[in-house]
Amino acid sequence: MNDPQPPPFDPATLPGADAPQHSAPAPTQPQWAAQVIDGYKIYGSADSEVRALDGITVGFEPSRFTAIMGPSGSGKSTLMQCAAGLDRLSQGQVFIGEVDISTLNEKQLTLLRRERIGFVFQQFNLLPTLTAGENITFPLDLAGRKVDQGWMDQVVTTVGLADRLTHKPSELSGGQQQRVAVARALVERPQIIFADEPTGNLDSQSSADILHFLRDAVDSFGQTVVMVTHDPVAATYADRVLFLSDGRLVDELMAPTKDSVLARMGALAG
Amino acid sequence: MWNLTLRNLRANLARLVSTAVAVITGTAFVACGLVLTQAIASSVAGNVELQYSAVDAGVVSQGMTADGPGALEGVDAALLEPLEALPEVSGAAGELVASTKLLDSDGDALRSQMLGRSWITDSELNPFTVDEGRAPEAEGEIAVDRGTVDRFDISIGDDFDLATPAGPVEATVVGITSFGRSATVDGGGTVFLSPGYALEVLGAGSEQYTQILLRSDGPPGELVAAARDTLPTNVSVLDGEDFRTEATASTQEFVSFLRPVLLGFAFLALFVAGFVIYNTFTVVVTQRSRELALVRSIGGTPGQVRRSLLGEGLLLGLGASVIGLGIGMALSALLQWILQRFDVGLPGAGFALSGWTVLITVGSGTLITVVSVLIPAFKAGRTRPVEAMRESAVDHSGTSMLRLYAGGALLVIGVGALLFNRFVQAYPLLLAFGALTLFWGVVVGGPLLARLFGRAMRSLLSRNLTGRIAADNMVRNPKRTATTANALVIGLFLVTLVTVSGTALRDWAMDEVAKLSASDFLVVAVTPIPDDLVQAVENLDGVTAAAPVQTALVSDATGVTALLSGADIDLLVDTMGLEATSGSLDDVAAGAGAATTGFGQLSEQRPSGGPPGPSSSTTEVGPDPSEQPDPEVDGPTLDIGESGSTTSQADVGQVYLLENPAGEIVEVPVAAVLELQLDTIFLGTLVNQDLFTEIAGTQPVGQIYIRADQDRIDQVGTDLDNIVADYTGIEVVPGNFIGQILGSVIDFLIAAINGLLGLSVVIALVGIVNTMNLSIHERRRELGMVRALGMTVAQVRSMVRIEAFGIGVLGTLIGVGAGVFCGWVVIGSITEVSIPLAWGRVGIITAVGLLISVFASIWPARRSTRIDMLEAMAST
Repeated sequence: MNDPQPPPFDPATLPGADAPQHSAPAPTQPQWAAQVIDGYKIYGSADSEVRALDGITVGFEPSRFTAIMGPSGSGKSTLMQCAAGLDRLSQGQVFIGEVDISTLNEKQLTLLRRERIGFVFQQFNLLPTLTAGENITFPLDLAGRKVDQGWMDQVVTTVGLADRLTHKPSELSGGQQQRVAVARALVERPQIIFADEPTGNLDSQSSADILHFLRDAVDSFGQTVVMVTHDPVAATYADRVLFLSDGRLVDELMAPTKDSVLARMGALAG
Repeated sequence: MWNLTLRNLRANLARLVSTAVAVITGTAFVACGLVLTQAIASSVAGNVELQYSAVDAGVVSQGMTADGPGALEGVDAALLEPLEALPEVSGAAGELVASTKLLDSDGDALRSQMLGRSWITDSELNPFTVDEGRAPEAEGEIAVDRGTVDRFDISIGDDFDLATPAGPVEATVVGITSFGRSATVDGGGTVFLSPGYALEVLGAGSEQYTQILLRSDGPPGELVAAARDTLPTNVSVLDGEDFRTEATASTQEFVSFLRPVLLGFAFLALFVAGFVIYNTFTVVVTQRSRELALVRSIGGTPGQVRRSLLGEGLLLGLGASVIGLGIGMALSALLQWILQRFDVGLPGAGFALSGWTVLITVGSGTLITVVSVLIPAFKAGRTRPVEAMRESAVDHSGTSMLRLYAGGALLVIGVGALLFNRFVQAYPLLLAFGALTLFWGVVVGGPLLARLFGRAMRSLLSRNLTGRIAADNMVRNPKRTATTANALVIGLFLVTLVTVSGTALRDWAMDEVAKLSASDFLVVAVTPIPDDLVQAVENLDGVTAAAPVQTALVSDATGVTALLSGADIDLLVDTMGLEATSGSLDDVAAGAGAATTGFGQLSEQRPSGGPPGPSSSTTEVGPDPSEQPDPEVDGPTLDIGESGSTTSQADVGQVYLLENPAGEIVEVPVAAVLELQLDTIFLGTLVNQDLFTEIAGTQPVGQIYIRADQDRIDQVGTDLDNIVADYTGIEVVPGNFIGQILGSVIDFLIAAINGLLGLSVVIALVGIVNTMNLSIHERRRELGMVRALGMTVAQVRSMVRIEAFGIGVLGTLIGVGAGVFCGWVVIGSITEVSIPLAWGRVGIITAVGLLISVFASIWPARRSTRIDMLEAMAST
């Protein structure tokens, strides 16, 4: 597959780099795993205009676990979708590593998602006709890349699916299905994993398992994870929590606890 | 619940459109078939009614009312005058019809099927009217129908060369005619000539009318009686009704044959459409199960859910059927227009929409739609709310084991029966049983076959991820895949079967025919062959022998008619190598008796009451068989038709009792039985010229058998063609022409049947596209997800394309495979001799099937990537 050649990376040339906002990445910081700079996402037109993202600038550090929180309609899912190359900004730039994805065409964007980004969705994560094992290697197979069997075994063992690889998704529980999705995201060793409410449909025990695996991936393998959630408990697994409201970044919390998250959320709601 | 029904229809426009397309396509073809059949029937029957509406009595020759080459038999023109003199007759006209062609400046015919008619001067008997100019009154004047005039831009005063039975003539257009609301009754156009001129040119001097039409102001019964008294016994007088029935009889037969065939195809189209409709609704219900579950969970009873769906089916079926009816009518109008371009238009009545057409089309379309909804609707009603509210909206309904076993059993039984038929003993009933069982096995066992096929495809494509997923998707719902493919299976199965067995039948028949020797050329005519033409043929360079043959229809003591030929027997032996299997041809040449072909034209009726003679209306004229003068002679009769040939073999020593024009009985012993040859069936019963004259009087030459110098045979053929080119109704055919005619007739039938079957294949194409689009709609979340995970547009499309193509291939393979197999068994039943299968044609059919599969994959593939990724994933 033809990888888009990433342009040489120079943080100093980033438009947002010299205009840091209160939580914006400082120019002195190391390379971001992903960055949204001065991003707008505007729906409708003129008087009926809705700004899902309203000039947001945010960066996700590598090998860290970042959670994005905010009330419904705050733009948290839109931010994730734009950052992950699933949707395009109305205005602004998105970087995955050094690549400015706003300059990529549809095909290049697709290939970039395939090569560099892992996804865990809330539901409809798996292809029902493929086995768990085939689902895990699906993005690699799409790209025609060879599966690193050692790494595959390690990931599968970590998420506890070793004896389930030949099962079809319909033969797995909801928690197991979500673990397959996490394994799929991990096995391709992406630059960054985006998880959109990965525990939204799970019971508390399965949720804890999934969050544990994501945390583990960051700690043990140096994986970068960005997770959108509305669950304060889930957010406590992150290193850093970003709070969005009305399409803007309004707050940030390092080393969150359930109480501190709830407090910030309460403040936002109030 | 009506409210819900209406809203459902409105809310899902795309779904509505795809289901409607299925119903519309099906009903349109049904309507088209019905309208065309109706048009043909009414064009034939309606025209005759109109054309002869004023006729109270018709005078025809006896030959006209029997099967056989009656065209040679007319009614003597001299009979018209005494009829006109009768007080009961208010109007009389001799009608003469013969092939005539208007030639352009290059000498080529403007229209190939044109007819010349004598202009009937009695305005009440004449159904034609003069629009412009005047009726033809003198020699060299013609009137032409409006259709021909408009099409070839003809004006009054134009001069034309005409090819007629009497050879080429020149004529001037003096009038333009029409027939009721249409141009004429003849599909190929009509040329009118004045009565006297028609006798000269159309009759080629035979002084005979085709028939005489009479009209009376008094009671028709008296007219018929009076006419009968005046006329000799060799002509029949029919009252108006019988006359019209007689006139439509041959064409009615054709229509009554055509009607079920056309209807059969129309219903086949509906049947295939039924598959598509049913399938579409199954998909729709599955896809909607969650929506329905919501209705259930807030208190809708299963009955209400069912009624809502049924209402939807009823509305959709009714609406789409009405649209289908309209499109079908447009389609048939288009077809008629195209046919007219090729000069095979339906003259006269045109096409009308009958109540039956509306009822059958809309009724069956609605019924099939409702029934198609009924089954999924019951399933929908049974869905438990909890079950359906879960996320997956994909149909997981498996295929019942019972169905798999039943399908498998039917397949095994069908194949077994057919194999038994081929290798052990052929029974037509077993053959039909086997073919039907195999067919139903394919339909019922479709999911099984789909699953096997999917598995094979998966292993074939195992190295290609998108291909593998596509193969898996195909068998996700084997029932649906099978139903979709079945629409294609039905069409291709029938096309293949017809082609394979039809081609084999043709080859076999041509081969059989080629074994018989024959003359090198044969001049055949539906009109008398003029003497100068006979001489021209005899004197032609390269012709080594030419045998003119006079023909006549004669009747025996029982009034049954058959073909009698008179010729110089020695010349016939020279030209066609005539031989006798028993008796002596020398005796025939000497006039001691007749030679019979043993082909059923003449046969002996056994005293025990063998094959009855055909129930011809001429029996009223002949004397009763019991009044035969010589009871010792086993009442030999003339018998027409194959039934006679198989049951009663002609034998030397039999005596035929034939009636001469004077009404006397002539005893003709059978002196020889001819060996069966290609040409002998055209001879009927053969006598020498003297005996012929004694039995039938002086008759014109109807056939000429020709032997040519073998080195110059091509040149002779060309010269002969040139000689007869100026005469219509006379043709030169090469010696083995029966084989060729047979071949081309069968070829035409195969093409015609396949053309009609092609409709069902087109519907099947719509079906595949429909099913795929619905599958895509159903799996849109999944498609969104794989796009997010990095499947490129090209990969998604190729995945969908492979799946659609796979369904098409499945249908093609099963359809063509089953067709070839059944065809192979049918061939084995026709003959012991092994005939090679028409693999070339099978290849073409397969290619068409695959091409359709490719077409079926294009649209869904495009559609699959038009889905908005995020929207698809967000929708719940």
